[in-house]
Amino acid sequence: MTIDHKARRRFLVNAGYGIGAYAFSGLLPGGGFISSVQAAEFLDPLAPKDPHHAPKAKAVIWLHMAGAPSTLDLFDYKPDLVKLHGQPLPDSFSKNLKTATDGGVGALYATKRTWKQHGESGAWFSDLVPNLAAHADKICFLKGSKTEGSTHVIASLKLHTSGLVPGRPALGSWIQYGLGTSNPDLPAFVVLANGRSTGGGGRGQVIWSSGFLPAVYQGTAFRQGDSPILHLDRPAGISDAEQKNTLDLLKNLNQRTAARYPADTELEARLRSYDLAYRMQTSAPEAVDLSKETAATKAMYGLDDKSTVEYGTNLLRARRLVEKGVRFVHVISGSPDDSLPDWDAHNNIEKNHGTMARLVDKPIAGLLADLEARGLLKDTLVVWTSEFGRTPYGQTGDGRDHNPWGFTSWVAGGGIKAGYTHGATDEIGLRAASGIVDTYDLQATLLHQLGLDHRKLTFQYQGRQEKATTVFGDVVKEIIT
Amino acid sequence: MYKKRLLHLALTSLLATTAFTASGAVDEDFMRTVEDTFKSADSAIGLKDAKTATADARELEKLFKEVTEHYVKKGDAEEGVKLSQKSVELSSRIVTTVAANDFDSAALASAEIGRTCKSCHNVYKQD
Repeated sequence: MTIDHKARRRFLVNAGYGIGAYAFSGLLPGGGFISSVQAAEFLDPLAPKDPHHAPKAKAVIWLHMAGAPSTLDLFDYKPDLVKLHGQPLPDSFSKNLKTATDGGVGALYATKRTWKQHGESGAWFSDLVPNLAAHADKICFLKGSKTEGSTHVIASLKLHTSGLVPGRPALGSWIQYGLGTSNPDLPAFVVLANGRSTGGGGRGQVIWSSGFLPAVYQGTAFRQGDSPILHLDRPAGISDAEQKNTLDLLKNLNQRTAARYPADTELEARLRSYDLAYRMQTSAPEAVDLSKETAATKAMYGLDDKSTVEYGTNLLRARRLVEKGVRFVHVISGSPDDSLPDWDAHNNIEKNHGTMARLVDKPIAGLLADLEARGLLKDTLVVWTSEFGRTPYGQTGDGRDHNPWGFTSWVAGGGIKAGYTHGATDEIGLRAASGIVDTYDLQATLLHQLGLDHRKLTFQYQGRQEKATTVFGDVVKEIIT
Repeated sequence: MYKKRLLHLALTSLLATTAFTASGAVDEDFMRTVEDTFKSADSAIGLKDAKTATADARELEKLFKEVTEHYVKKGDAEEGVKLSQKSVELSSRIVTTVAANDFDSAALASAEIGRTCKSCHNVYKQD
């Protein structure tokens, strides 16, 4: 008897009642079509793997401030900039920098914020982030952060994938590839975005793509609402028992065939993806269901306030996902309304940052407090960063331009020194002057905390051995406990 | 007459371009070649591909020598000279360590080139 594999596969695709659509749609972590060539690697690509060394962290919550906030108006207090307000940018500061972008170089522009030192560490915070300031002693500031490229697309790609063009895997993908999953019922790399223009901070899926790694490692974007993953729900009119019966039948048929064709790894991979999709019909909605959270917890994340509810919901979900073993949660900040796109304040920085800082301040403070209270902060790296910062010189009279040369990022938890500041920008905050941390170094350090050596985490692609942070990147040992 | 002038202009432009290229301008394209070669060498070391690693490292030696010359000519660029010379030495070390089948040491030299590149970029790269 000749078996018609094509007919069998058509049957599989058509008979899965929603799961079929899901498993073959590309929304499954690693979804889309699994080629027979790749299938061998897909047998259990998410099985837990040993780290290179003992880890200090289990998970990352990556807070991507899309559009690039001015850290000169949040964390990097520069009294000299206040003194020099209105003067042209001195040549001594701009040497070797291509400072002219779309808006040209305006006069130096002082922050209008009021500043105070907080905590035992005495870290500076502006009045835009009063709730976050209360957690000064949990935070490690990287005030000598720098990157390449002064356009959002290029710098966003570099921040997330260590590449300047699309095609490389995101950090979350490398982590899944290196460690596998610790919860087989959920994707190990989840993306949570709020607002209307946050398809990757306007950069799209390329910043959570698995690039040249197998698609199983890509980020899975969760939607707002009770049904976080498209096409995952069982269609109306099909009972759980009916679906289970159908899947059991499929499984039985597939297992019989698999027994006759043990070399058909593609079939084995598909069996596993059906299983995962079925399990996720329950686990994914449960992971984002906040009904069992207390009113106090919800308030802590700002769920009782219209201006913070969307972002706060994502952060509370992030905590729940990390609690359930998700390794990398990429949270993208989008505007809460249509009045502005994101943090990209080329003009009217007062209005922009007033809105955006209000959006994130209370929820992030709530996240840090909640993680600590639950004993999760010691194992979780909370990373606050953006594609670049903003210039100390003004643009259009009341805004700031892109600044890849010097800005602030911060990390909390996961074995990183708390209440510590590493590096600094120059006197006016234009470029990183000491303790320089490039995006490659940030990625290498996070991988290190998770037990992975960025030089040993490799994947062979088109004949070349690719590394997570390309040929660059050093662990920033000064910030590790 | 007009055609002659146009031809003269075209020839002059061609000669000028040729002269610029022959001078070995260390520009963005040149540095991209350096980075591509470095990435290829680093990969070959990881894959223990001695032939490619050696060829790439020898090419890197030449390229970094050109970078050194560039900074010497430029003047007031001691750091650039120092770092590019260091990269020449590190490239040479890759050649010798790979010849001795010591890929671990070659990988260390390669990682150090990455650091040296970054140090140099922090000072001289125009973003």
